[in-house]
Parts: sequence; C-alpha cells; structure tokens
Amino acid sequence: MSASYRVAMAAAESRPRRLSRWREDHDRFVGFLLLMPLVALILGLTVYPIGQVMHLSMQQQGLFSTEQTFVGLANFQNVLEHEAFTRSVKNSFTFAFGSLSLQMAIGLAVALLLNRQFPLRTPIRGAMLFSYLVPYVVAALTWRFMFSDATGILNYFIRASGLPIAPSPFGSIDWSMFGVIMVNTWKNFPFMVLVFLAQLQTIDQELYEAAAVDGATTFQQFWNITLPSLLPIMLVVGMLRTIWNFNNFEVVFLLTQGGPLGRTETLPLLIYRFVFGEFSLGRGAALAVIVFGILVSMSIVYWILYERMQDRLR
Amino acid sequence: MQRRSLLVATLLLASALAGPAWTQGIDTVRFLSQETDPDVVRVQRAWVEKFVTENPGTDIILESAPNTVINQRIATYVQAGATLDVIHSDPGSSARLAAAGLLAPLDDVVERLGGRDGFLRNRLLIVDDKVYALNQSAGIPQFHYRKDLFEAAGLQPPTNWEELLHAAKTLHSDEVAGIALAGGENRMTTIMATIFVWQNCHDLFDENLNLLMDHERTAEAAAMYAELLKYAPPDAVSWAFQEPIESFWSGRAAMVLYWHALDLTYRQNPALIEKVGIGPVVGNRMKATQMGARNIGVFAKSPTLETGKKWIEFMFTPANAAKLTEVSPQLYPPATKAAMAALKGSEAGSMKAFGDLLFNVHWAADPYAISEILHAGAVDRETCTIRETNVVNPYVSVLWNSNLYARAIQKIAYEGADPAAAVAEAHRLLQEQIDLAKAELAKQ
Repeated sequence: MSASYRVAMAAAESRPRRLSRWREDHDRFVGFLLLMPLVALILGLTVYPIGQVMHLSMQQQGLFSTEQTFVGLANFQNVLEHEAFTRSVKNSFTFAFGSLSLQMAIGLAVALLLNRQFPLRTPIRGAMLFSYLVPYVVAALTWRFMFSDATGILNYFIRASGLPIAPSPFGSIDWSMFGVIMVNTWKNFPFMVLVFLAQLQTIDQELYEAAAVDGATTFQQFWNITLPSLLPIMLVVGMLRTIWNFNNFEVVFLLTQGGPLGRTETLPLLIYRFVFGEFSLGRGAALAVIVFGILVSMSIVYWILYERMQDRLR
Repeated sequence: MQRRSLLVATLLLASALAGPAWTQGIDTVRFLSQETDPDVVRVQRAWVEKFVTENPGTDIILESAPNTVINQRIATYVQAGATLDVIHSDPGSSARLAAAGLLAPLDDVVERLGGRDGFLRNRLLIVDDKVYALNQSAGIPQFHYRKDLFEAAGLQPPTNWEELLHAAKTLHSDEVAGIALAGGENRMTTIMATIFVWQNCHDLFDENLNLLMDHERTAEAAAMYAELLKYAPPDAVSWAFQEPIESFWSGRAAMVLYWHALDLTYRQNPALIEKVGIGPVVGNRMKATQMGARNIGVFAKSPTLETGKKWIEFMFTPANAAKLTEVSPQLYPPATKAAMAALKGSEAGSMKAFGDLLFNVHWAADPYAISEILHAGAVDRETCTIRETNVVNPYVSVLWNSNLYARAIQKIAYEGADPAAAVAEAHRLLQEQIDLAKAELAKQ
C-alpha cells in the first residue's frame, strides 16, 4: 500500500467526520438561533420586569411622579413595620391553603365520581367545567349580588330559614374569609378535577382487579392504589394552585376589598393599597419582592417534596 | 429608566391613536373622564360634537374610567410618560397633582367665564393664588328619608344627632333597616364619618395641615357613627359607595346619607321622588356636611394645552353646564352663578320633578358644605363655624385611601373597642403615612 494511497484513504475517512462535526456545529447554531426569540421573550417579559421591580423597591417614588430617590432598604423596613403586614401574611396563607385544601378535596371527590361509568357522563363532565370558564369578575359579582342584603336571593333564604350563619358572609367579620375561600374554591375546583381525572385514567385497572381478588375494600384500594398514583400530580398542581391562590387579587378585591377590619386583606391587596392608596410605588414594589421571595421558597419546598416522592416511586 | 419600563404599550397606543390626528394638523385633546353614567356620557358626546363643529381643526377624544380606577389610569399615563390632557379626577388626586406642579393654571379660563366671583362656593381649586381645577360636581350629602315611614311613625326629619339616632332606632325592623350607612373599610365610610367629626365641631386637619384625629370629639363622632351602624343592614360592614343607595332604592332602609340619591331614581321611577324627602343638614355642636367634587384640570405638559383650556371653558359655559345639571341635578349642580340663573327657567323634566327640593333644600345646603380639600381646617373649633382657609390639603387623599378612620369605626362598632383608643391608634398610623407622603411630595 503506497503512502499516497494511505493519505487518500485517511482523507476520505476524515471527510465524513469533518462533515459530521460541521453539521453538528451548524445544527447547534441553528438551534441556538431558534431559541433566541424565546430567550428574548423570557428576558423581556419575566427577567426584566422582575429586575425593574427589585430596582424600584429600593427607590422612593410617588404614584404621580417619575422622580426616583435611592433609599436602600428603607422601603422594606417600612413594609415590615406596617401595621397590616403581619395580618396580611397570615390572611394570604389562610386564603391560599384554605382554598387549596377545599379545591383538592372537592376536586378529588368529583374526579373519582366522574371516573366511574354512568349515563350522561360526558355532558356532566363538560358542565362541571362551567365555573372554571366564568371570568373572575362575573363570578365574584354574581356571588356578591346573590348575598346582597338589598336584592340577594341567598341572603333572603338564609334570613328566612333562620340558619345560624351570617346572611352575607362577605360583610361578616367572622365569615368573610370563609366567604372568599368558598368563591375561590367554586371558581377553581374544576382545574383539579381535570388534572386528577386525567391521572386517574392512566392507572392500570388490573391493579384494582388484583386488589379486589385479594379482598381489599374500596377504601383500601383508594388508599393503596389511587392515592399513591395521584400524589406526584397533587404536588405539582398543589404548587401551581398555591402560587395562583397566593397571587389572587380579583376574588378578594371584588368581594370584600380586604375588609371587614382587614380580615381578608391579603398581600396582593396590600400591594394595591401601598401603590394606589398610599401612592408609594417603592413600598408596593418592596412588598412585591417579599411576596416573590415567599413564593420562590414555597416552590422550592414543593420541588424537594416532589423529587423525594419520585425517588420513592422509582 | 422608569419611564421606559412602565407600560410602554400605553405610550404606543396613545401615539397610535393620536398620531394620525397630529399628522393632519388637528389639535387633539384627550379628555379622561370618570363619568360612566350613560345619560351623562351622552351629554359629553353631544358637547364634543358641538365643540368640534365650532372649533375646526380640533378633536376631543373622550375616554371614560370609573371613579374607582381613575387614579390608576392617570398614574399609568404619568409613569409611561404618555400625553395627558384634560382630566376629570377625584379632588384628592387633583390636589396632589396641583401641589406637585403637574397641572396648568386655569386663571385665564376662569376670567373668560366671568372671574372667580362668578363661581359659587368651593368650585375652584386654588394653590398659591392660582386656579388649577374647576369643580364640576359639587354634590352635597344629605339625609334622604322615606316620607311614608316617617309619617307612620309620627317622626319629623331629624335635625340633630339625638333625633337621627332616635329615628334610626324607631324605624329599624327585620324588614326595614333604620338607616343605610356605609360601614366598610373604605373611602365612602371615611368621608361620611368625617361629616360627623365636623358636626361635632372638630376637624381632622388644621389649617397648617397637622393631623387632629386623636381628639375626644373625633372619638365621640366615631362612636356616634358606630352606634348608627347598629341600625344599618347586617352587611353594612362591607359597604362602600354603591350599596347604601341600592339598599335605600330597594326599600330596605328608611334613610340614607348620600350625595345624589334621587338622580337615578328620577330617571328610572319619577313617581318615587314624591315619596322621598331631603332632611335639613344635621348637626350636633354645629351643622355641617361635605361637598363632593369631580375636578376638571389640564396637564401643564399637554401638547394641546390651549385647546384643552378652550374645552374646559366650553364645558362650563352656562348653557352647556345647564345641560349636564338637567340630567343629574344632585351630582352636577351648577358651578357658576350664571349657570344657576340659566337653570331657574329650565323646562327640563328633572328640574320640574324635583320641585322645590333642588333650589330650596338640596342646593340651599351649600353654606353648610365643607370642601376638606380646598379648605384645610375649615371648622373653626372655637366658634363652631365654617370658615374658608383657602389652604389646599393634598393629604386628604392619604386619609381617604388609608381608610384608617373607617377602620377605627369598625373596631368600635363590631369589636366593641374603646372609641378613644381606636381613634388614637388610627391617628398614629395615619401620621406615619402622612409623614411619608410629605417626604415624597417635598421632593417634587
């Protein structure tokens, strides 16, 4: 084999390798280019606003002014010392986790029912989505109207029946938090139903059949088969709904505006109060940063729990 | 930095809307109005049509935002650096905007409308002897009462706190509440409760803008308001602007303290007016009520400042202003003596239906009306009389938006708190907020 032949062979062999490397580089470059719009969107719509809010949280700025003065952490100090802060944190957790518990419980119960075979199951599944499709404003105002002292049909029945509950929960010091949680639950439980129902349909029916043969009761089947299968998805939707409930502004604002006596004033309403009530963009931004921190911390906890759950299932 | 970051879309939208007009050489004025009542908006639209016809080369863009969001809308424009021309804002915000130097003086407009003397009481927002806004909606809250219920109970319209409380107690039942009074933690309750402070010969600010809330007379007024809430419907604890009047209209309450309780009633059910009476201004140590406002001003940096001023002048000419009053006489009383004169011979159905209630009872309450924005410390606490201090109070907006006095009343009414302690706490918290607002305003 001549030397020239070997060189020619080596060149012929390396050509596809070079070509393949060039292709890889090219593909990587194209992939990078294709990602760019998404990266730009995330930077522009998420990272930049968060950065702006963080910047604003260290400025003193009025609502009707574009002038800013750097004040360091003074806004955070003002927020933490504000009389409404501790109460709003407590209200936010009560609202978020109260809503979450009810949404999960009702969502799971309804999903289990809808997972069974019965006549008219499909239209009933569709109708169940109704409250989720209604806009927040419509839902909140409709509930408020139904409980109105002047014109509310539910208020009328409660008064006529003499039930030991407030005729209008939204105007009651003791019942207002329950009222806003109730409306938020009514509005959002179909989301849970959808997710749980989808997961329930992935569970192998043979597991239930085998358990039944072994003499397991319905509750034992639920406890040992259904619930473990649902737990990972429960954690994911639990995290999402916690964030959404925590950030919910519409329901509380439209029903009670945070009252009575601050009983339903959650952190988003307090941000609103700082900005549009006390005309301070800086304090509003500082509280928004605190809320962001709380939500990130909670997401991390959920994520750790989710990973542990996945490890156990593996 | 901030200007770029906040709602660039608003800027783009504003440019997109206004751009074509500018390129055609048309002076376009954006009129940001808080009016959403369809009948009143109809009047505004008719004004626009007439103005544009009379002033070729101009255009008015009418933009409505309810009073609950008007501040947000104005703030969005300011923060985005977008053009703002004529605004129809709440009085607290217009005082803040004027104090911050964002509004243009309107003295030339006032001169063309007959000078300051041609305007009725409390119609001009004056800072450093310059007029910055004109009050288009000088509504006065008064007690509106059901004549049939009062007659059946042998009661006369109340003139003082004792009679008021007696009437509310006497008329209160499971079916009908004694009084429709807002008890929510909001601006409505704050405004209504402030009236009781004035009636008790005290004020929440003095003429030097010092807070006076922590005082026995304020606590007495709060206790009186809380006592009246016992005879309000059970959900009054969450009521704001709309619910008291709904309750009264629906027949669930015997009395209501409100600015324009009869305007919509007239339009929807004229016969009801005869069944409703307007009581004299109530008092304790002195008679007093409030004067509401929807102030019209123009931004100093408006690119169409002169056309904006012309538009304001146009709205306040007696003939045009009278059209608005005829639609909503209690919410939009005349602002000038000339407009008042023009209305005397009005053939409008509303004017006739109200009969003597407007000229002789409702508008006649004007001398007892206090504008807390225009005259800080309007109550002379020595003589128990109303005075004109001409000190604009930009911190009323803090009082109204913090809702702390309303919360003190809630604590007294629903938690049985000691009035003096509740009011003292509200004072302390409000003082902190006012100090912050003062610091922010001082920088501007």
